[in-house]
Amino acid sequence: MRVRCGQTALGLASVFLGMLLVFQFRAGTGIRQEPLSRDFDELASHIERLETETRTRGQRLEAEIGALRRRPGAVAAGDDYDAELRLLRLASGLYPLSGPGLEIVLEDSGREGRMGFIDPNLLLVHSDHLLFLVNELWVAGAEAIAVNGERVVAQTGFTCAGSLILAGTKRLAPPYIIHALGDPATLRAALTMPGGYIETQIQPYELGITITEKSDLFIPAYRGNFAFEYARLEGEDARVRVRAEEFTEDGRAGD
Amino acid sequence: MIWLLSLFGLAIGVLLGLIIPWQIPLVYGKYSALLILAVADTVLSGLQGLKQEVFSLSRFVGGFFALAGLGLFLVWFGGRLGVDFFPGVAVVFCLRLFGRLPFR
Repeated sequence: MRVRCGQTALGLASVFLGMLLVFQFRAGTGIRQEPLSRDFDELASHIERLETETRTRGQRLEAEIGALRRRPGAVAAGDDYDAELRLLRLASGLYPLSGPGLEIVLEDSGREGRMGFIDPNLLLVHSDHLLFLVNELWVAGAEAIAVNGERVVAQTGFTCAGSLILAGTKRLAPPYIIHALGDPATLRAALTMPGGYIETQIQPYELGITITEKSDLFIPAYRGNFAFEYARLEGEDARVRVRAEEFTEDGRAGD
Repeated sequence: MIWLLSLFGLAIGVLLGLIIPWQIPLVYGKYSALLILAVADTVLSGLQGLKQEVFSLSRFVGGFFALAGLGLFLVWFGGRLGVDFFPGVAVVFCLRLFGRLPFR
């Protein structure tokens, strides 16, 4: 009787152990054990604040620009200035553009990090992946770049916020789609060269990356604001003069 | 042959676990890990007791609750104090497990 009782207890304990094991495995612990919600809230409010700040600053600047425009003789109306203005706006990413280029889709690795002792962090797309890819594209001669429809301008920085990637203050979600205008063949060659960034830093971790050459890509205009609080113009003569022939307008730049 | 019973129970448990669509919430992952160690220890102790015919149900059940209770309480309490007792408790549990290994 005593043995029978013991065997039942032992059997039940084993059943319990088996169930617990399955539940634990299913939870897939080890990836993120720490709750991130507090960080998220903090970041969300931070972002919220930044966005409202930028918006109000943008409105103020807009008003300022309007006032300056209306001032008589502020801008001498002339072709030279118009051309310069267009080139500068083009360079600043204020025009939506289209043309041939490359589409790069980047995704987290489909592989489970559990097997083998791989840090699961290595199998995710991080902000520096985007940063380096964008950098490679600029180096290869890309003329305009957008990530998930967010235009990359000189002030755009990629940061990591919890499980999100921010481009400037815009939140990005996977899959990360990079559009780059430029010669598709050149861009592709630069990205896929042996020993290049993709081969050494992306393929070993089996991150999903697909590169397609596109004959007609659309790249939206930069939607944020430019704020210069601390930078001053160095002397009046330091203004960049652009000669008319430097500006090549091939009709692509719409407003 | 008793270990066969244990193995059988384990298999049934795994099957049940696969059928029941539940997973341990991530926040409690640490606790359930310790619980697994405690249950494994209890199962081994039961095997040992049955083999040596010194099995006592009260000690079997009581031992489990004492072990799991103390371990989980320590980890929870450590969390409150800001000290991570998890590694310590895990080491103790593992030592207990390994200590039972050479049973006949």
